[in-house]
Amino acid sequence: MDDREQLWRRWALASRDGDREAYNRLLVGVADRARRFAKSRLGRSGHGLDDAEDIVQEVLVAIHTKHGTWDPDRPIAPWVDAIIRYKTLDALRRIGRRAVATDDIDRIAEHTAPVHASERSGYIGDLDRHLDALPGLERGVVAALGLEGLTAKKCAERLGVSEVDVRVAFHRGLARLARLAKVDAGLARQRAGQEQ
Amino acid sequence: MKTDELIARLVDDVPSLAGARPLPARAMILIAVLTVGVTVAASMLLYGVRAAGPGSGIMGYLVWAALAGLALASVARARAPMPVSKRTLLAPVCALLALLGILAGLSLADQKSVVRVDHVIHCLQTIGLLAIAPFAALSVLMRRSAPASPVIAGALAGLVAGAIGALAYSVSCPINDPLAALSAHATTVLIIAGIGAVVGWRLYAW
Repeated sequence: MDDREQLWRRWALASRDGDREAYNRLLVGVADRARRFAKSRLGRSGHGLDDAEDIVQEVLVAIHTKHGTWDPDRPIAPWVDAIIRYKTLDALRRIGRRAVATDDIDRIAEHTAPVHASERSGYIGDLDRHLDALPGLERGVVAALGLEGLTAKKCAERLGVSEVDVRVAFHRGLARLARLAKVDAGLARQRAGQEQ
Repeated sequence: MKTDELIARLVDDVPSLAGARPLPARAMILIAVLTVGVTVAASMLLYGVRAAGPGSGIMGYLVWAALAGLALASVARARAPMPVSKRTLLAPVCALLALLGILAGLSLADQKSVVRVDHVIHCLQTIGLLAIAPFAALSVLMRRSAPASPVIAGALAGLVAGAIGALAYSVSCPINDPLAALSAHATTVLIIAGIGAVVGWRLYAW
Protein backbone atom coordinates (compact mmCIF):
# COMPACT_ATOMS: atom_id res chain seq x y z
CA MET A 1 0.00 0.00 0.00
CA ASP A 2 1.61 3.31 -1.05
CA ASP A 3 1.88 6.49 1.01
CA ARG A 4 -0.93 8.23 -0.80
CA GLU A 5 -3.33 5.38 -0.18
CA GLN A 6 -2.41 5.21 3.51
CA LEU A 7 -2.63 8.96 4.06
CA TRP A 8 -5.89 9.42 2.15
CA ARG A 9 -7.48 6.46 3.90
CA ARG A 10 -6.53 7.85 7.29
CA TRP A 11 -7.79 11.34 6.41
CA ALA A 12 -11.02 10.05 4.84
CA LEU A 13 -11.84 7.91 7.87
CA ALA A 14 -11.00 10.79 10.22
CA SER A 15 -13.19 13.17 8.24
CA ARG A 16 -16.12 10.81 8.68
CA ASP A 17 -15.56 11.29 12.38
CA GLY A 18 -15.76 15.06 11.92
CA ASP A 19 -12.01 15.85 11.73
CA ARG A 20 -11.91 19.12 9.74
CA GLU A 21 -8.12 19.27 9.47
CA ALA A 22 -7.96 15.75 8.01
CA TYR A 23 -10.71 16.53 5.54
CA ASN A 24 -8.94 19.73 4.47
CA ARG A 25 -5.75 17.75 3.81
CA LEU A 26 -7.65 15.13 1.86
CA LEU A 27 -9.38 17.72 -0.34
CA VAL A 28 -6.15 19.63 -0.98
CA GLY A 29 -4.44 16.36 -1.98
CA VAL A 30 -7.32 15.36 -4.25
CA ALA A 31 -7.42 18.86 -5.80
CA ASP A 32 -3.73 18.67 -6.59
CA ARG A 33 -4.07 15.27 -8.27
CA ALA A 34 -7.22 16.32 -10.14
CA ARG A 35 -5.53 19.51 -11.36
CA ARG A 36 -2.57 17.62 -12.79
CA PHE A 37 -4.80 15.03 -14.49
CA ALA A 38 -7.20 17.63 -15.87
CA LYS A 39 -4.37 19.78 -17.26
CA SER A 40 -2.75 16.79 -18.90
CA ARG A 41 -6.03 15.66 -20.51
CA LEU A 42 -6.99 19.18 -21.57
CA GLY A 43 -3.55 19.71 -23.08
CA ARG A 44 -3.57 16.36 -24.87
CA SER A 45 -7.00 17.01 -26.37
CA GLY A 46 -5.88 20.42 -27.66
CA HIS A 47 -8.05 22.51 -25.31
CA GLY A 48 -6.86 25.44 -23.26
CA LEU A 49 -6.07 24.94 -19.59
CA ASP A 50 -8.62 27.55 -18.44
CA ASP A 51 -11.18 24.86 -17.62
CA ALA A 52 -8.83 22.84 -15.36
CA GLU A 53 -9.91 24.66 -12.21
CA ASP A 54 -13.60 24.11 -13.02
CA ILE A 55 -12.90 20.37 -13.31
CA VAL A 56 -11.01 20.39 -10.00
CA GLN A 57 -13.98 22.03 -8.29
CA GLU A 58 -16.42 19.53 -9.78
CA VAL A 59 -14.22 16.69 -8.54
CA LEU A 60 -14.15 18.18 -5.03
CA VAL A 61 -17.93 18.58 -4.94
CA ALA A 62 -18.34 14.98 -6.15
CA ILE A 63 -15.88 13.71 -3.51
CA HIS A 64 -18.03 15.49 -0.91
CA THR A 65 -21.51 14.58 -2.13
CA LYS A 66 -20.61 11.01 -3.14
CA HIS A 67 -18.47 10.30 -0.09
CA GLY A 68 -20.91 7.58 0.89
CA THR A 69 -20.06 5.53 -2.20
CA TRP A 70 -16.56 4.84 -0.87
CA ASP A 71 -16.50 1.57 1.02
CA PRO A 72 -13.80 1.73 3.77
CA ASP A 73 -13.15 -1.97 3.17
CA ARG A 74 -11.76 -1.05 -0.26
CA PRO A 75 -8.80 1.16 -1.25
CA ILE A 76 -9.59 4.87 -1.53
CA ALA A 77 -7.08 5.91 -4.22
CA PRO A 78 -8.77 4.01 -7.09
CA TRP A 79 -12.13 5.46 -5.94
CA VAL A 80 -10.75 9.01 -6.05
CA ASP A 81 -9.04 8.36 -9.39
CA ALA A 82 -12.30 7.00 -10.83
CA ILE A 83 -14.13 10.19 -9.79
CA ILE A 84 -11.36 12.37 -11.25
CA ARG A 85 -11.49 10.39 -14.51
CA TYR A 86 -15.31 10.54 -14.71
CA LYS A 87 -15.49 14.28 -14.04
CA THR A 88 -12.61 15.09 -16.40
CA LEU A 89 -14.06 13.06 -19.28
CA ASP A 90 -17.50 14.54 -18.60
CA ALA A 91 -16.00 18.05 -18.76
CA LEU A 92 -14.06 17.22 -21.93
CA ARG A 93 -17.29 16.10 -23.59
CA ARG A 94 -18.95 19.34 -22.51
CA ILE A 95 -16.03 21.47 -23.67
CA GLY A 96 -16.09 19.58 -26.96
CA ARG A 97 -19.75 20.47 -27.39
CA ARG A 98 -18.98 24.06 -26.47
CA ALA A 99 -16.18 24.10 -29.05
CA VAL A 100 -18.70 22.92 -31.62
CA ALA A 101 -21.05 25.69 -30.49
CA THR A 102 -18.22 28.20 -30.85
CA ASP A 103 -17.57 26.87 -34.37
CA ASP A 104 -21.10 28.07 -35.11
CA ILE A 105 -19.61 31.54 -35.39
CA ASP A 106 -17.71 30.35 -38.48
CA ARG A 107 -20.85 28.80 -39.82
CA ILE A 108 -22.73 32.02 -39.10
CA ALA A 109 -20.10 33.97 -41.01
CA GLU A 110 -20.41 31.55 -43.93
CA HIS A 111 -24.18 31.73 -43.98
CA THR A 112 -24.35 35.45 -43.57
CA ALA A 113 -21.67 36.04 -46.23
CA PRO A 114 -23.74 37.85 -48.84
CA VAL A 115 -23.99 36.59 -52.38
CA HIS A 116 -23.19 39.93 -53.99
CA ALA A 117 -20.00 41.93 -53.65
CA SER A 118 -22.02 44.94 -52.59
CA GLU A 119 -23.54 42.90 -49.78
CA ARG A 120 -20.16 41.39 -48.84
CA SER A 121 -19.10 44.60 -47.13
CA GLY A 122 -22.26 44.42 -45.10
CA TYR A 123 -21.17 41.26 -43.27
CA ILE A 124 -20.05 43.12 -40.17
CA GLY A 125 -23.28 45.06 -40.38
CA ASP A 126 -25.22 41.76 -40.39
CA LEU A 127 -23.39 40.58 -37.31
CA ASP A 128 -24.06 43.89 -35.59
CA ARG A 129 -27.71 43.65 -36.57
CA HIS A 130 -27.93 40.10 -35.20
CA LEU A 131 -26.12 41.13 -32.03
CA ASP A 132 -28.60 43.97 -31.56
CA ALA A 133 -31.41 41.43 -31.77
CA LEU A 134 -30.04 39.52 -28.75
CA PRO A 135 -31.34 40.17 -25.24
CA GLY A 136 -29.16 42.49 -23.13
CA LEU A 137 -26.99 40.03 -21.17
CA GLU A 138 -26.49 37.68 -24.13
CA ARG A 139 -25.49 40.61 -26.35
CA GLY A 140 -22.98 41.91 -23.80
CA VAL A 141 -21.47 38.48 -23.18
CA VAL A 142 -21.14 37.50 -26.86
CA ALA A 143 -19.59 40.86 -27.69
CA ALA A 144 -17.17 40.66 -24.74
CA LEU A 145 -16.11 37.03 -25.23
CA GLY A 146 -16.50 36.63 -28.96
CA LEU A 147 -15.42 40.02 -30.27
CA GLU A 148 -13.26 41.59 -27.56
CA GLY A 149 -11.70 38.28 -26.52
CA LEU A 150 -12.22 38.76 -22.77
CA THR A 151 -12.08 35.76 -20.44
CA ALA A 152 -15.30 34.54 -18.81
CA LYS A 153 -14.02 35.77 -15.46
CA LYS A 154 -13.28 39.30 -16.66
CA CYS A 155 -16.56 39.41 -18.53
CA ALA A 156 -18.41 38.34 -15.35
CA GLU A 157 -16.68 41.07 -13.36
CA ARG A 158 -17.48 43.69 -15.95
CA LEU A 159 -21.15 42.74 -16.23
CA GLY A 160 -21.58 42.09 -12.52
CA VAL A 161 -22.85 38.51 -12.94
CA SER A 162 -21.44 35.08 -12.08
CA GLU A 163 -19.17 33.11 -14.41
CA VAL A 164 -21.86 30.46 -14.74
CA ASP A 165 -24.32 33.12 -15.94
CA VAL A 166 -21.72 34.29 -18.46
CA ARG A 167 -21.23 30.77 -19.85
CA VAL A 168 -24.96 30.13 -20.07
CA ALA A 169 -25.61 33.50 -21.72
CA PHE A 170 -22.76 32.91 -24.18
CA HIS A 171 -24.14 29.54 -25.32
CA ARG A 172 -27.67 30.89 -25.57
CA GLY A 173 -26.45 33.95 -27.47
CA LEU A 174 -24.52 31.81 -29.94
CA ALA A 175 -27.50 29.53 -30.46
CA ARG A 176 -29.72 32.56 -31.11
CA LEU A 177 -27.16 34.03 -33.52
CA ALA A 178 -27.03 30.70 -35.37
CA ARG A 179 -30.81 30.71 -35.74
CA LEU A 180 -30.80 34.30 -37.03
CA ALA A 181 -28.03 33.44 -39.45
CA LYS A 182 -29.98 30.45 -40.73
CA VAL A 183 -32.94 32.70 -41.49
CA ASP A 184 -30.66 35.13 -43.34
CA ALA A 185 -28.99 32.33 -45.25
CA GLY A 186 -32.41 31.03 -46.33
CA LEU A 187 -33.39 34.48 -47.57
CA ALA A 188 -30.07 34.86 -49.41
CA ARG A 189 -30.53 31.49 -51.13
CA GLN A 190 -34.07 32.45 -52.08
CA ARG A 191 -32.83 35.73 -53.59
CA ALA A 192 -30.04 33.98 -55.47
CA GLY A 193 -32.56 31.45 -56.84
CA GLN A 194 -34.87 34.22 -58.04
CA GLU A 195 -32.01 36.07 -59.77
CA GLN A 196 -30.92 32.92 -61.60
CA MET B 1 -15.45 30.92 -6.52
CA LYS B 2 -11.83 29.97 -5.97
CA THR B 3 -10.88 26.37 -5.21
CA ASP B 4 -9.51 27.31 -1.78
CA GLU B 5 -12.84 28.91 -0.87
CA LEU B 6 -14.70 25.82 -2.07
CA ILE B 7 -12.47 23.58 0.04
CA ALA B 8 -13.12 25.79 3.08
CA ARG B 9 -16.88 25.52 2.53
CA LEU B 10 -16.74 21.75 2.09
CA VAL B 11 -14.64 21.42 5.23
CA ASP B 12 -17.28 23.42 7.11
CA ASP B 13 -19.79 20.81 6.00
CA VAL B 14 -17.73 17.89 7.34
CA PRO B 15 -20.46 16.79 9.84
CA SER B 16 -22.60 15.68 6.87
CA LEU B 17 -20.05 12.91 6.17
CA ALA B 18 -20.74 11.17 9.46
CA GLY B 19 -22.01 7.64 8.88
CA ALA B 20 -21.59 7.86 5.11
CA ARG B 21 -21.31 4.31 3.77
CA PRO B 22 -22.53 2.44 0.70
CA LEU B 23 -25.77 0.50 1.12
CA PRO B 24 -24.73 -2.98 2.30
CA ALA B 25 -25.40 -5.96 0.00
CA ARG B 26 -27.74 -7.48 2.61
CA ALA B 27 -29.94 -4.37 2.56
CA MET B 28 -30.03 -4.45 -1.23
CA ILE B 29 -31.14 -8.10 -1.23
CA LEU B 30 -33.82 -7.33 1.36
CA ILE B 31 -35.13 -4.42 -0.73
CA ALA B 32 -35.09 -6.64 -3.84
CA VAL B 33 -37.06 -9.41 -2.11
CA LEU B 34 -39.59 -6.89 -0.83
CA THR B 35 -39.90 -5.35 -4.28
CA VAL B 36 -40.47 -8.77 -5.85
CA GLY B 37 -43.15 -9.51 -3.26
CA VAL B 38 -44.92 -6.22 -3.87
CA THR B 39 -44.72 -6.67 -7.66
CA VAL B 40 -46.10 -10.22 -7.53
CA ALA B 41 -48.95 -9.01 -5.31
CA ALA B 42 -49.63 -6.14 -7.73
CA SER B 43 -49.71 -8.58 -10.66
CA MET B 44 -52.21 -10.81 -8.84
CA LEU B 45 -54.39 -7.84 -7.94
CA LEU B 46 -54.26 -6.20 -11.36
CA TYR B 47 -54.31 -9.23 -13.66
CA GLY B 48 -55.55 -12.09 -11.49
CA VAL B 49 -54.01 -15.54 -11.11
CA ARG B 50 -53.90 -17.88 -14.07
CA ALA B 51 -55.96 -20.97 -13.16
CA ALA B 52 -54.00 -23.38 -15.36
CA GLY B 53 -50.67 -22.48 -13.76
CA PRO B 54 -47.89 -20.36 -15.19
CA GLY B 55 -48.06 -19.88 -18.96
CA SER B 56 -44.32 -20.17 -19.39
CA GLY B 57 -44.06 -23.17 -17.05
CA ILE B 58 -41.99 -23.37 -13.90
CA MET B 59 -38.92 -22.64 -16.05
CA GLY B 60 -40.40 -19.21 -16.66
CA TYR B 61 -40.15 -18.35 -12.98
CA LEU B 62 -36.62 -19.69 -12.73
CA VAL B 63 -35.38 -17.88 -15.84
CA TRP B 64 -36.63 -14.48 -14.66
CA ALA B 65 -35.62 -14.99 -11.05
CA ALA B 66 -32.11 -15.94 -12.19
CA LEU B 67 -31.88 -12.99 -14.60
CA ALA B 68 -33.14 -10.55 -11.96
CA GLY B 69 -30.62 -11.90 -9.44
CA LEU B 70 -27.68 -11.78 -11.86
CA ALA B 71 -28.57 -8.29 -13.09
CA LEU B 72 -29.03 -7.09 -9.50
CA ALA B 73 -25.54 -8.32 -8.62
CA SER B 74 -24.26 -6.36 -11.61
CA VAL B 75 -26.21 -3.27 -10.53
CA ALA B 76 -24.54 -3.51 -7.11
CA ARG B 77 -21.14 -3.38 -8.82
CA ALA B 78 -22.11 -0.74 -11.43
CA ARG B 79 -23.28 1.79 -8.82
CA ALA B 80 -19.73 2.52 -7.68
CA PRO B 81 -17.71 5.09 -9.64
CA MET B 82 -15.16 2.44 -10.67
CA PRO B 83 -14.88 1.55 -14.38
CA VAL B 84 -17.42 -1.11 -15.37
CA SER B 85 -15.64 -4.44 -15.73
CA LYS B 86 -16.55 -7.09 -18.29
CA ARG B 87 -17.40 -9.38 -15.39
CA THR B 88 -20.13 -6.97 -14.34
CA LEU B 89 -21.89 -7.44 -17.63
CA LEU B 90 -21.00 -11.07 -18.30
CA ALA B 91 -23.74 -12.76 -16.30
CA PRO B 92 -26.80 -10.83 -17.53
CA VAL B 93 -25.55 -10.74 -21.11
CA CYS B 94 -24.93 -14.52 -21.07
CA ALA B 95 -28.40 -15.13 -19.63
CA LEU B 96 -29.98 -13.04 -22.37
CA LEU B 97 -27.88 -14.68 -25.08
CA ALA B 98 -28.90 -18.13 -23.82
CA LEU B 99 -32.52 -17.06 -24.06
CA LEU B 100 -32.08 -15.73 -27.57
CA GLY B 101 -30.14 -18.91 -28.45
CA ILE B 102 -33.14 -21.05 -27.50
CA LEU B 103 -35.35 -18.99 -29.77
CA ALA B 104 -32.79 -18.97 -32.59
CA GLY B 105 -32.63 -22.77 -32.37
CA LEU B 106 -36.27 -23.05 -33.41
CA SER B 107 -37.26 -23.59 -37.03
CA LEU B 108 -38.46 -20.52 -38.94
CA ALA B 109 -42.08 -21.71 -38.82
CA ASP B 110 -41.87 -22.22 -35.07
CA GLN B 111 -40.23 -18.84 -34.63
CA LYS B 112 -43.12 -17.21 -36.49
CA SER B 113 -45.63 -18.93 -34.25
CA VAL B 114 -43.90 -18.09 -30.96
CA VAL B 115 -42.59 -14.56 -31.68
CA ARG B 116 -45.76 -12.53 -32.06
CA VAL B 117 -46.08 -8.77 -32.07
CA ASP B 118 -49.48 -8.80 -30.31
CA HIS B 119 -47.95 -10.79 -27.45
CA VAL B 120 -45.09 -8.32 -27.14
CA ILE B 121 -47.48 -5.34 -27.12
CA HIS B 122 -49.62 -7.04 -24.45
CA CYS B 123 -46.55 -7.84 -22.35
CA LEU B 124 -45.16 -4.34 -22.75
CA GLN B 125 -48.36 -2.96 -21.27
CA THR B 126 -48.51 -5.39 -18.37
CA ILE B 127 -44.87 -6.13 -17.55
CA GLY B 128 -43.98 -2.52 -18.30
CA LEU B 129 -46.47 -1.34 -15.69
CA LEU B 130 -45.22 -3.89 -13.14
CA ALA B 131 -41.60 -2.88 -13.79
CA ILE B 132 -42.21 0.75 -12.84
CA ALA B 133 -41.97 0.24 -9.07
CA PRO B 134 -38.74 -1.84 -9.13
CA PHE B 135 -37.20 0.61 -11.59
CA ALA B 136 -38.17 3.56 -9.41
CA ALA B 137 -36.62 1.86 -6.36
CA LEU B 138 -33.41 1.17 -8.27
CA SER B 139 -33.38 4.72 -9.61
CA VAL B 140 -33.50 6.12 -6.08
CA LEU B 141 -30.53 3.90 -5.23
CA MET B 142 -28.65 4.93 -8.37
CA ARG B 143 -29.25 8.62 -7.79
CA ARG B 144 -27.56 8.22 -4.42
CA SER B 145 -24.70 6.31 -6.05
CA ALA B 146 -22.04 7.34 -8.56
CA PRO B 147 -22.08 4.95 -11.51
CA ALA B 148 -19.06 5.28 -13.80
CA SER B 149 -21.35 4.59 -16.73
CA PRO B 150 -24.90 5.91 -16.20
CA VAL B 151 -26.02 4.26 -19.46
CA ILE B 152 -24.88 0.77 -18.44
CA ALA B 153 -26.23 1.28 -14.92
CA GLY B 154 -29.59 2.32 -16.42
CA ALA B 155 -29.67 -0.68 -18.75
CA LEU B 156 -28.91 -3.02 -15.86
CA ALA B 157 -31.57 -1.37 -13.69
CA GLY B 158 -34.01 -1.81 -16.57
CA LEU B 159 -32.99 -5.44 -16.88
CA VAL B 160 -33.61 -6.07 -13.17
CA ALA B 161 -36.93 -4.21 -13.24
CA GLY B 162 -38.04 -5.98 -16.42
CA ALA B 163 -37.03 -9.39 -15.08
CA ILE B 164 -38.92 -8.74 -11.82
CA GLY B 165 -41.93 -7.61 -13.85
CA ALA B 166 -41.74 -10.74 -16.02
CA LEU B 167 -41.34 -12.95 -12.96
CA ALA B 168 -44.39 -11.38 -11.33
CA TYR B 169 -46.47 -11.49 -14.50
CA SER B 170 -45.71 -15.20 -15.03
CA VAL B 171 -48.34 -15.77 -12.32
CA SER B 172 -51.00 -14.13 -14.47
CA CYS B 173 -49.77 -14.48 -18.07
CA PRO B 174 -52.54 -15.84 -20.33
CA ILE B 175 -50.16 -17.05 -23.09
CA ASN B 176 -50.40 -20.85 -23.18
CA ASP B 177 -47.31 -21.78 -25.17
CA PRO B 178 -44.28 -21.65 -22.84
CA LEU B 179 -41.91 -20.68 -25.67
CA ALA B 180 -44.26 -17.95 -26.90
CA ALA B 181 -44.52 -16.56 -23.36
CA LEU B 182 -40.76 -16.75 -22.93
CA SER B 183 -40.05 -14.94 -26.21
CA ALA B 184 -42.66 -12.22 -25.56
CA HIS B 185 -41.35 -11.66 -22.04
CA ALA B 186 -37.71 -11.66 -23.19
CA THR B 187 -38.44 -9.08 -25.89
CA THR B 188 -40.28 -6.93 -23.36
CA VAL B 189 -37.44 -7.17 -20.85
CA LEU B 190 -34.95 -6.15 -23.56
CA ILE B 191 -37.08 -3.14 -24.48
CA ILE B 192 -37.33 -2.12 -20.81
CA ALA B 193 -33.54 -2.46 -20.51
CA GLY B 194 -33.20 -0.16 -23.52
CA ILE B 195 -35.53 2.38 -21.96
CA GLY B 196 -33.53 2.01 -18.74
CA ALA B 197 -30.33 2.87 -20.63
CA VAL B 198 -31.88 6.09 -21.94
CA VAL B 199 -33.30 7.01 -18.52
CA GLY B 200 -29.96 6.19 -16.88
CA TRP B 201 -28.11 8.40 -19.32
CA ARG B 202 -30.29 11.37 -18.33
CA LEU B 203 -31.05 10.57 -14.69
CA TYR B 204 -28.02 8.81 -13.22
CA ALA B 205 -25.35 11.26 -14.36
CA TRP B 206 -23.73 12.92 -11.36
